[in-house]
Amino acid sequence: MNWVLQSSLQGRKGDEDICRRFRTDFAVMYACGLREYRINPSQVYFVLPATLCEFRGRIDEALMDELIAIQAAAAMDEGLVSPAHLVIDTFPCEQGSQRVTDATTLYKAQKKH
Amino acid sequence: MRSFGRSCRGQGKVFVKLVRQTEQQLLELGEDIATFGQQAQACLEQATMLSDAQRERLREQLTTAMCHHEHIRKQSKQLTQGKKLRHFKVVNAYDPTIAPIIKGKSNCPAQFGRKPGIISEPATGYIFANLTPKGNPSDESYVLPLIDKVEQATQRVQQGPKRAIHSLAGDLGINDPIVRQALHDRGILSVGIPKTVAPINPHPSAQEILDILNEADLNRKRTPYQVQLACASGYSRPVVESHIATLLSRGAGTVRYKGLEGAVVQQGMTVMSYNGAVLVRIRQRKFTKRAQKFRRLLGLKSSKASKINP
Repeated sequence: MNWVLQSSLQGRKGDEDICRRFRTDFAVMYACGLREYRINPSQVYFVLPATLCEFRGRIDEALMDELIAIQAAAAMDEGLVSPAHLVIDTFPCEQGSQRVTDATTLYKAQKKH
Repeated sequence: MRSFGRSCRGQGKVFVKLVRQTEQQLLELGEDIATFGQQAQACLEQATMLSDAQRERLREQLTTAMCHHEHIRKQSKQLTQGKKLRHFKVVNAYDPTIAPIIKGKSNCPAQFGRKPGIISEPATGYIFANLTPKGNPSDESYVLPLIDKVEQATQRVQQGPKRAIHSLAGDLGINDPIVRQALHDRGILSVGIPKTVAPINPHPSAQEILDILNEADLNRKRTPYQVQLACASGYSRPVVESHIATLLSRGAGTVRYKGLEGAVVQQGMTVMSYNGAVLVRIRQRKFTKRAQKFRRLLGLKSSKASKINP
């Protein structure tokens, strides 16, 4: 998991590396629960959404908290951030809005004209 | 300020008569659903092509859907306009963990959705922990779980001195004597949480600092310098709004994944990507003047300085 977090800090290059190892490294595939996963070898993906969805589907609240704690601890280890003074707040998020798809956009565009 | 969902006030009227008529029609139309549900359950028991696991899953989903239907029927018969919303009110047939957000304006319909909480560093905006609770509890109930999460993260730190939380700031929503006492018991200053609408004094006098320490009974745990810093970095609405706005722009605005678990994953992934961007910004030394000042006061290193003086 540390490797995933460290790679994510490297931006696009990191994403590429993560996704390549998701597809090719059996140890990483095993750790992320992708044992029975098969990809279409005729297509080359930069980021494979189906793989990421399957990976995220295995994450629960406890694991997500742990991932964020690992990231925070790594940042504190580096001396980049400090938890000395903190600020707390809540914010509302919209739930269950309509998904904007290409079909919706096209439908709305046709309706306008 | 943020807004979402239907317009809260000023636009259009709620046609109560029309709503009641339509509601009556829908209730009549749905009267047979209970019978259909029982028939579906009987068919499910007789289906031979299903495995036990599949049958169990479908039975559970059917039972849940029937329970929700009954609850929605019951609450549809009640007049909602002008009445106080009860806490267990289903606002989404597919996710009963969503509750109305009972906060803010008093003369407009209640908003509904999720209300995640974040705990962040005021200088750079790094988010140490987030919380997406079931339903919409009060703001003060977010404080201790979030502090616990930050303490779990600090326990994982392997290098350098032991990290501790010196102070916590928040808005009037978390101004609760029990929360304050719990923070003081953990050695955390609560000077950043206002007691009135009056702003916090950023430059307290020596006597005021002493009073703050005495009130919190933290004379031996916290130094006057730490109190000074806590007052200076106290609650600032624009700072918090900037953190939230960046988070919303990264996809935290609309919860697209299903259920509470989906919301937790989506918010968590958004926070992680946001934190990644903050760390990149720190490495590139892209700070505001305020952030530069606080980082200097907190003794946080910059990557450039460490390269020059390794």
